[in-house]
Amino acid sequence: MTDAPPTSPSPHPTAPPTALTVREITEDDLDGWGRAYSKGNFVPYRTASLERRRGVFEPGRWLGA
Amino acid sequence: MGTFRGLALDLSVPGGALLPVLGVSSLAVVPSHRRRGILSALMAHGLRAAVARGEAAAVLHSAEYPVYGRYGFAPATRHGGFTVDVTASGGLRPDLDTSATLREAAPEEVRRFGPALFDEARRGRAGAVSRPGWSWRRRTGAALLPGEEWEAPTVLVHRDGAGEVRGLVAYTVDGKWSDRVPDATLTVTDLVATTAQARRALWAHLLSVDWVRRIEVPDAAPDDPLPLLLRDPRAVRPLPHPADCLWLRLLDLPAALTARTYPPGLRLALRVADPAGHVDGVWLLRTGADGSAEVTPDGGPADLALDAAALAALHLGGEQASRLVAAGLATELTPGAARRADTLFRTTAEP
Ligand SMILES: CC(C)(COP(=O)(O)OP(=O)(O)OC[C@H]1O[C@@H](n2cnc3c(N)ncnc32)[C@H](O)[C@@H]1OP(=O)(O)O)[C@@H](O)C(=O)NCCC(=O)NCCS
Repeated sequence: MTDAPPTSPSPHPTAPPTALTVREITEDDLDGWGRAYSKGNFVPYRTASLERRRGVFEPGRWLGA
Repeated sequence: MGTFRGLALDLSVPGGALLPVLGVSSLAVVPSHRRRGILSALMAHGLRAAVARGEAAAVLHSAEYPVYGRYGFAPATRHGGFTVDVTASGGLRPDLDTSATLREAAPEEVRRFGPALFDEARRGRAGAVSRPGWSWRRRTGAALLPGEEWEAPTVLVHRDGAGEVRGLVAYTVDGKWSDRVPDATLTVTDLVATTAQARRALWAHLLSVDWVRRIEVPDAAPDDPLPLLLRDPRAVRPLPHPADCLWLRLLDLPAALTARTYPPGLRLALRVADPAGHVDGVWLLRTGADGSAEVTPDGGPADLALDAAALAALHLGGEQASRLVAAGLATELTPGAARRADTLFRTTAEP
């Protein structure tokens, strides 16, 4: 329950800090959002996911950075 | 570069109330942009938005243990999945009455009565999260993930004397043979029962399925009564899951703490540290004769000091304050405070 230190060192220790924006995504962002999600989870992106995500998308609850 | 999906869910708490919570899912940051604070920024935004919507807490399942404590989350329930060696079990105890007729149910029937049955069952067990409509559609093959193959489970239903549905079990059997004899594993994909009679009847069936040597129940409460129903409880072994199951983060402390019930006539002042500010401060918790609680911000001295994550670990009754004190995750400020907190938060059924 306390913060444990990261188990691995940063893979990009010299990466320059970039300006970071977090925002609620819109339906138009769903394709890019899905691609980032797949990349982050090391799973192949399937175009069929887009339709499924449209079906469950709730504006205001899905965020992207 | 980073994704976050918030779900509108509710969580059963001790006493049977359902607390509106944010379900945090689909967290991911692309590998090239990790460890630059993207997850932290998404989480801060997502939790603030949940507070604005009036969600009293947030829940998630954690892929890796060390990540979410820093955001005020802690494991609040434990996995209790197990496997049963059917032959070694000897079946159910002979003194149990298991006479009941089970009937097979079609997917559309399950979608019709499943939600109400599940909601009734989870009111008796804290730590169970609501299943939205899409979850029932996925469980019954009406909505699949792209590329997902559907293996229709067998679904059996138990009804009481009045014809009310009191239990449901869904399972698949792998049909495996070893050394020219059947050696099948039956996997329980869902088991919901609102009465002891229904649970026994469903288990009597599971233990009698031809060819099955092993039954796996990946999702079960840690104190599931099944071992005690068997002739030989040693036939039940825990599955090698991580122990932590649902992670909880309290966001609106009075709303969350007053939603559950407690033993009557107790009083405890908590000093909660929360750098994100959601539940920071000293809070006085007083319980009434009916088990309800009153929670007010307090200027006085506190009995127990802990951070937001440690309090979340206690909230559903799955953790003990005295254990947190022993581990240095909470500090007693008045003698006996941890014992009092144990009495306050502990529940009969494990969350
Ligand atoms: C886990 C994940 C979302 C973290 O994203 P991130 O943007 O790199 O995280 P941040 O940079 O905001 O890190 C926040 C903190 O968590 C720590 N942290 C991040 N990932 C961690 C990990 N895997 N193990 C331990 N600590 C970790 C960081 O060091 C940082 O610590 P600090 O606050 O003390 O500086 C990202 O690594 C990921 O997508 N992983 C694969 C998919 C996944 O696991 N998703 C979560 C499923 S529950």
